[in-house]
Amino acid sequence: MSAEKQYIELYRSQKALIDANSAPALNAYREEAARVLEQEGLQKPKDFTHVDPGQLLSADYLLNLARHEVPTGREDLFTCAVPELSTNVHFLCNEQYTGNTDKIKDSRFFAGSLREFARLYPEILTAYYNQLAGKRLDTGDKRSARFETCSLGEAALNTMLCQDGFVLYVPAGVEVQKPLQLISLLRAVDDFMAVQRLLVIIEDNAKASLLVCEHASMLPKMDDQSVVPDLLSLQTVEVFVGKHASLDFYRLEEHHEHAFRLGQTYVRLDEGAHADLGEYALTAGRTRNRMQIELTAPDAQVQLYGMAALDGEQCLDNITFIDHQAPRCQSNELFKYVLDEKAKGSFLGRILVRKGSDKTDAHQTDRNLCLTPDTRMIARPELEIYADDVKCSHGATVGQLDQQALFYMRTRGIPEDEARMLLMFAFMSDVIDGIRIEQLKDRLKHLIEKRFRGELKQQCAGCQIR
Amino acid sequence: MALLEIKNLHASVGGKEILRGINLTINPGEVHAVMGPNGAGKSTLSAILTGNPQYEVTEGEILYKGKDLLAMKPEQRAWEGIFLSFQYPVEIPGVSMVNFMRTAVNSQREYRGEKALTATEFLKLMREKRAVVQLDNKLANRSVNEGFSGGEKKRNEIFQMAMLEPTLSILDETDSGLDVDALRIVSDGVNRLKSAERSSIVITHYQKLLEYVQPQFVHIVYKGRIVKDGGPELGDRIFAEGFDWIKKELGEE
Ligand SMILES: Nc1ncnc2c1ncn2[C@@H]1O[C@H](COP(=O)(O)OP(=O)(O)O)[C@@H](O)[C@H]1O
Ligand SMILES: [Mg+2]
Repeated sequence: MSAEKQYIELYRSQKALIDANSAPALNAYREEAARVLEQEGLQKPKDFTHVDPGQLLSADYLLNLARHEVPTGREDLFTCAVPELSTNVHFLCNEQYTGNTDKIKDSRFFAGSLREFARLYPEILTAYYNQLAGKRLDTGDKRSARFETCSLGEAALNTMLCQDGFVLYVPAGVEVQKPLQLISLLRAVDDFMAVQRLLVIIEDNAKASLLVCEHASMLPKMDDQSVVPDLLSLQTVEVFVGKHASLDFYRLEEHHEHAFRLGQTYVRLDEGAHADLGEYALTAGRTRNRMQIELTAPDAQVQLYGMAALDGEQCLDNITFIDHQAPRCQSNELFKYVLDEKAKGSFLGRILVRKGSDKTDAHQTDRNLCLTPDTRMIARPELEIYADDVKCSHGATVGQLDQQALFYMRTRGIPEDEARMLLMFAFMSDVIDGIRIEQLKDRLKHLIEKRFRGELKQQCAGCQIR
Repeated sequence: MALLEIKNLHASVGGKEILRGINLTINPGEVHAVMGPNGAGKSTLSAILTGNPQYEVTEGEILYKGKDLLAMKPEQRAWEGIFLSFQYPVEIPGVSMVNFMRTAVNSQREYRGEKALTATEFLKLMREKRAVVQLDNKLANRSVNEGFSGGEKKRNEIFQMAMLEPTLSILDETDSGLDVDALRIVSDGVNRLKSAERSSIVITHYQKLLEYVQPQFVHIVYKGRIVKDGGPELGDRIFAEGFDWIKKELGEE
C-alpha cells in the first residue's frame, strides 16, 4: 500500500482520537485534506532534487496522536545555540507547544499554541489557516506545474493530522519590538514523525521578528541503545504579511544525520508589505524546503536568504517560487551553499512575473562551493516574465575554493586550514550580513566559523540536549 | 652559510618544463636582481621558492638556511622568513585586510614561540607600517586587494612585507606600472628592511628600481636557465641594449 493510503487509513481509524486532542477549528479541515492527499499523493516530482518525500514518508514512524506528555522543552531540557536573543522564548517539542519564558505577558499580540489559538479565536484561525497550503496556486500556465504541485500532498498530510503547533498573531498596527524566538526540538526514542504547523499573521501596519531554531535530540532508541532513531519533521508554515506590515522570519536548522525535514512554507504579502526571510542550515540530515512567496499587491518587497553548510552525506533541497502578481514589487534572493565530503544540494528557483506586474524588480543569486569531487550540486534558475519594464536577473555558479587566493594566504603564513576557513567564511558573509536581527547575525557568524573549523559536526552548537 | 642555495633546479607546470637547471646562491645581506625577457621563467622561480602547488619540481634541490626548502609547506616557508611580492596580487573578496594580516602575523608569531599581539598592539603596528607605504586607512579596512588600483595592490604587497619583516624577500616586478612616486615608496620599503641578515631577490625590467635598491648581483634568466651573472654593470647593459646580444652570445640569432 502506498504511503498516502496508509496515512489516510490511519486518519480514518484514529479520527476520534485526533479530533479529541486538537480543536474543532482545526478538525474542520481534515476531511478535505484527506481528499487532496488521496488525489495528489506523495510521489517524488521530476524536479532535479535529492530528497524524495514519498520515500521519506513511506518509512514507519510513530505519531503522537494521543498527545502523550512530552518534556517541556524549557531550559532544563536544553539550551539553544542562540541564547539571550530574546527574553521571550517559546518552545515546541515535536509538534506540541510546551510553553515559554515570557515573564511579562504582552497582551497586544498572541504568541503560543496553535491548538489554544484555534480554541480561543476560531474565526481568526479560519480566516488564515490552510488558505495558502490547501490550494494549488493558479498561475495560468502548465509549463512548470511541478513547482506548484510538489508540496500539495505533503501539506495535505500535515493538515489531515495536525493537532498543535505555533501561532504568532500580531493585530493591525501593533509593533512588536523585541524579536521572538521559537525553539523547536525533535525528540523521540523511536522512529518518529512530528506533524508541525506554524501560522504567522502580521496584520496591516504591524511589525514583528521571529527566529525559529530547529534541533533534534540524539537520544538512543528505546529498544536499541546503539542507534539514534529517525526523526522526521513534516512542517507546514503559512505566513501572511498585511498592508505596509513588516516581518523578519529566520529559520536556523541544526539537524543531525538522522533528522529529516519536509518543509512547505507559504508566504503572502499584501500592498507595501516587507518580509525578510532566511533559511539557514548549519547542519542538516536530509532536508527539503519548498517556499512559495506571493507578492499579491503593489509595492510589496521580499528578501529571501538561504544558506547551507553541508558535509558527510547531508542532503538539502531548496525549491523556491516567487510569484510577482502586482506592479512595482521587489524580490531579491540570495542562496549560498558550501558542500564538503559527500554532501548533496539543490537550488531550484523559479520567478514568475505575471502579466500586468510592470516595474517588477526581481533578482536571484545562487552561489555554491563544492569542496570535493564527491559532492553534488544542482542549480536551476527559472525566470518567466509576462510584464513590461521589469528588471530581472539571475545568476548561478558552482565552483571550488579559489586556489590562487588559498596560495596567496599561505605565502603570508596563514595555515592552510585557517585559509580555507577564512575563504569559506568570506563566501558566506553576504548571506549573513543582511540579517536584520543584530544578535542573530553575530551569533550566526560565530557558529558558521565553528562549523567550518569542524567543531560543529553533526552536533548542535552549544545546545546541551539532555 | 648561504641563506639560499638553488642547485640544478628543474621545474614544470602542466607537464611542460619551464625551469631547466637553475643555479643560484644568495648570502645574508645581499640584494640580487633577476632580469630576463617575458616568459623566461622568472615568476616560475618565485612560485617554486614559495611552494605554489601548481608547479612541480622535477630535479634539483633548494637549501634555505641549510634546510630542505622543498619539503616545507608554503606557510612554513613564510614563518621561516620567505616573502613574495606577487607580480599579480590576488583579490580575496570578503576577507578584510585587517583579519588577513592579523591571522598572518599571529600565525608567524605562534611558530616562533611568541605571544599573539593584542588587538591594540596589532592596530598600532598596522598604522606604523601603513605609513611607510602611504597606504590609505580606507584600503586597510577593505577586502584584500579588492577594488585596489594596480599601484595600490603593489603598495599593499610592500605593506605586507613591512608587517612580516622577511629574511628573504622576493619582489616579482613590483615596479611594473608604478609612477615615480610610487616607485620611491616601494624602494623605500625595500631599503628599510636591508640589514646584514636579510636578503632580496628583485625581478625587474626597469632601471629606476635598481638605482634605488642597488643590487650587488645581476642574473639574466633565459629559457629557464641563468645564462649570465654579473654586477650592476650587467643591468646597465641590458637597459641600454636589451637582451639580443645575449641571445647572440648563445648562438641563437
Ligand atoms: N600556471 C601556468 N600554466 C601554464 N604555463 C605556465 C604557467 N605559469 C607559467 N607558464 C609558462 O611558463 C613560462 C614562463 O613563465 P613565467 O615564469 O611567468 O615567465 P616570466 O615571469 O619570466 O615572464 C611561460 O611560457 C609561461 O607561459
Ligand atoms: Mg613574471
